[in-house]
Amino acid sequence: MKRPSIVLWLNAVVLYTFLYAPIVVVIAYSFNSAKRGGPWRGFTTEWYATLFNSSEKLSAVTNTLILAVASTAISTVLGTLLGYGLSRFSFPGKKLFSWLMYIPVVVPDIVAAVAMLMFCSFVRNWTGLLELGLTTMIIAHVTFQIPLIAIIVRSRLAGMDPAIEEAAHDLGADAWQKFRYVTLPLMMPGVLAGSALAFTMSIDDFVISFFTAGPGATTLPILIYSSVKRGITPDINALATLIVLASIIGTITVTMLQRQGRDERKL
Amino acid sequence: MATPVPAIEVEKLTRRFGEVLALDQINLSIQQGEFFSLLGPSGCGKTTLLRIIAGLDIPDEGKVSIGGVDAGGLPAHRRPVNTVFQSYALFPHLNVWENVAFGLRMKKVPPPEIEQRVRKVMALVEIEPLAQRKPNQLSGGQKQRVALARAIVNEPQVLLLDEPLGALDLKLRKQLQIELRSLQRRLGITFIYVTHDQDEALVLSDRIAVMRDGKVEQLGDAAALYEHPRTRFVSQFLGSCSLIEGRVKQRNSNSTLVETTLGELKTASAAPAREKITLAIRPEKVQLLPCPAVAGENRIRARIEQVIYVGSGTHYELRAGTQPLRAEVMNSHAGSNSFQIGQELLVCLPPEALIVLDD
Repeated sequence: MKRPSIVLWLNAVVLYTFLYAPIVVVIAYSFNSAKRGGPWRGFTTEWYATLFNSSEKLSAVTNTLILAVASTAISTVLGTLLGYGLSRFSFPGKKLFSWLMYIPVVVPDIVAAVAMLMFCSFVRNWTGLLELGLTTMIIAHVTFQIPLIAIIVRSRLAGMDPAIEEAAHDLGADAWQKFRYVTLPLMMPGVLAGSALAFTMSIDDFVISFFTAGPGATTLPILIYSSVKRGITPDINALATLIVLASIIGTITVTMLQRQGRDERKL
Repeated sequence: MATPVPAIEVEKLTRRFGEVLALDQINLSIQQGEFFSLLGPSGCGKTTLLRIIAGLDIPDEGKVSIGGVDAGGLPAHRRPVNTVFQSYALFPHLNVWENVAFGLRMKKVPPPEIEQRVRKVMALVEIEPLAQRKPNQLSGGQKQRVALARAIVNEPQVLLLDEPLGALDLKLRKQLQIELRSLQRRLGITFIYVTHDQDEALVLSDRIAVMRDGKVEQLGDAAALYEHPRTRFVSQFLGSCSLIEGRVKQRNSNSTLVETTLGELKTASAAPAREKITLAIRPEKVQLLPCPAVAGENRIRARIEQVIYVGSGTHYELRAGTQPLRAEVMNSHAGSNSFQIGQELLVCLPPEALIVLDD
């Protein structure tokens, strides 16, 4: 391969600095002993300690995790079934269905958030159900996670030789055994990659959570947003650093799962 | 003695894909223990027929019986047949041992028996050392053996093979052909073998059905198909033939005189009632006569246009007037067939080698 020119190098350096410098600053400041930002006053892990002693922040972490785990669990099951159904069965309206699946992906978050809020209050007026809180947040997150998982699972299935499933059938597997012992294991890397992505998106989400949250259901992004209004405290930097760390782990997991998928497809 | 129940009986089988008629009223009866080939170009319906027997596709009309039992209501997983797929279709997430054991596990065979049967079959196709490998760590020939083992471990009444050697190189293909044939004899299982390779069909089969456009064009053993092709298609698809158009001039009790552009030709076969007929002759039956030959019955004058040396023999492209002819001569004696391009010579078309086609 050709070696890049100096201009290209410079371009890359500027670009990556622009992308990552803010994150590096946040991480660095999370270890700065100065109370109100400003100059470097020495290394400390005090802010991490503060973080873990703050019940408000810990409950936000708990809420975030409950929200992410619950919504990812639900959307993984539903999204996988949707992706499987769309790729392996034919039924009237299939085209419309697969097209509709992309709507939650392309609709701006703010629109989805407002729509979700209105939907919840509409249902509450008629039935008294769907009081704003963790439940409504979970439902809202599931709505944007399902298509992500379904799209990934479907593309994984599309790349699979249909003869493999036929072989299972031919060798005596009934419909359930075929799904359980052949189709499911083969689409598993897609399912895991999809749910890891969905999990990350849930942890990350502010707009939709903010609109569907009720009292006592504060998540990390909401907490950070409200504390930043009162000025950035160093423990927020520590919190942000932990979120970055979690995101990096998530991204690496997704990449590795997809790579494994590619290797298996090379048959 | 009662006639044995055929392994596979196919009656009036029809399958349409939209406007395309993939199978058109197919009737076939395949005997127990037979090595039966479905031979034809791509799109002739041979794979569709195989898939319908396996239960992987459903016919629009007609009936399939397996071992005398109507298979109409049986889904693929309950039919006593197994398939070796063209793409092998090994399970990529399972190792070789697990691939072979798959069918027995699905049928809930007790583990000790699975262990024993898998080991036996893996020994039979010589893949024991590969037991722990994943399919993507195998070569084409190894995958082929695993696919075969995975199917025969279930001891099916009929084994269906869909161009199983199609993806392999020629040398390996030849070797596996021989192994397949001896494996079939040893197991005594009925094999139905789909191929578009005429040599493969000739080498392997007890009987061959030549298919074209969803119909069986001709059915018979290798020698019958080769020596007595009934249609232009079969004569061209199985080996090659020179075709000569003509009109019936005289019908005798055991021969026919045919008027052609090459003059009058005598054939040992009886001609159909029509007047216009087509004669076919295999290239190796065309005799090139060395020079001081005299004109006579079925001897025509031709010119050599092309000489192709293929080692074991020499192929000659000839032209007699406007009529192209092909001749193949074995090189059994060095230098014995030294005909040159452009040379004029006498060619003999023996009456018993001239076949009268139906179309």
